[in-house]
Amino acid sequence: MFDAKQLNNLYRYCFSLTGEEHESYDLLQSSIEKFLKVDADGVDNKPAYIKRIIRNHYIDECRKNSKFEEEQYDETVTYVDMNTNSLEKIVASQYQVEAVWKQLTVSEREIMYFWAVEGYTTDELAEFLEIPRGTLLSKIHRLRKRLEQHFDQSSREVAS
Amino acid sequence: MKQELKKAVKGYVESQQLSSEQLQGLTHMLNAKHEHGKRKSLVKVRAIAAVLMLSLALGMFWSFGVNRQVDVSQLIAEEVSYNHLKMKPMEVSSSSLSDVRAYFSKLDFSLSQSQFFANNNLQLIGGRYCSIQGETAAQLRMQDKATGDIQIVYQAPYNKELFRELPKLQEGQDPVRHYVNGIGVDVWVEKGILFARSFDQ
Repeated sequence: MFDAKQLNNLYRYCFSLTGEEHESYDLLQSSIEKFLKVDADGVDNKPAYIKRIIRNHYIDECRKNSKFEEEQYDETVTYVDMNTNSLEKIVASQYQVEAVWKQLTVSEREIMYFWAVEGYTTDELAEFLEIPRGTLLSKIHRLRKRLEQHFDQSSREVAS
Repeated sequence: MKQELKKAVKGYVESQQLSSEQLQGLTHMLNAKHEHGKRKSLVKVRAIAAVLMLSLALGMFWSFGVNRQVDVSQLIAEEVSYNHLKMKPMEVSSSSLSDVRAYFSKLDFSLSQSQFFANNNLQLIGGRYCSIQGETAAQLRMQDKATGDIQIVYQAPYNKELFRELPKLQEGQDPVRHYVNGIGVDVWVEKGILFARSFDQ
């Protein structure tokens, strides 16, 4: 049903949500259990389907444990020329990414994951996250600001 | 080495991977379900064909149940031994069961003392949340007063559908013991709670 490569991909998605190894494994395991309980024979894209299960399950668990806080965004603000391309202007080392990873919010890590690992466009990301494009752009805007604050000034220069 | 953020994030995330034990456990779980599905279909066909065939199918199902029992306790042992080796930091430190109980307020069951430890010289030192086969569980750290060795006791609600038949202490059955990666693991059910104990050899 899922081979080792697919299971590792799903684990990495869990890692983008939890930010922590052990919790990622727990999340993946319990999501697979949920997946096995439903009749998924007719589902064409099982990896995408289980990612949706993982995401919903994690949000449910976080809400139950009062860990999940809905963020408020000003959707009336227009973010000119703001999309995931703006993140590509930042340079950083893997060490810096590791250092900032746990400090990011769940949705910020999730954006980073789909952008960098899955190669989603802004529109694809908004569709998967089921949020308006404007909300996503505001999240990206905040994420970029946050990363810029964290990384050195030199890391932010565009490689010309 | 600095690089484009996209590459750095991709490199960092892709450096995360399941351990071979975790991969094995998940694959086992998926295969068990697959086998279960196939067997269920077989039973249906035979039931329609003839009553005699149905009894044969029930026999097969019973046989599957016995195998499943062994598999589940083995899966629990693999998960528990992994937790034991990782020895993550405790979230609450106290020798008082009532203090520790107060910390585990999000559990759907009440922590209980097992008669299995009645004659052991163990001292509670704290605990943390964890999960067993996806069920939210408490992980209690105990220290042997004489040797200083750490044992970990896990408690989770006993979901019979998930955990199947396991030894019940109150019915005079002994815990089932497994050894995984040098860690001993006892698994049993008591007072409606799934217990597991992990200890170094």
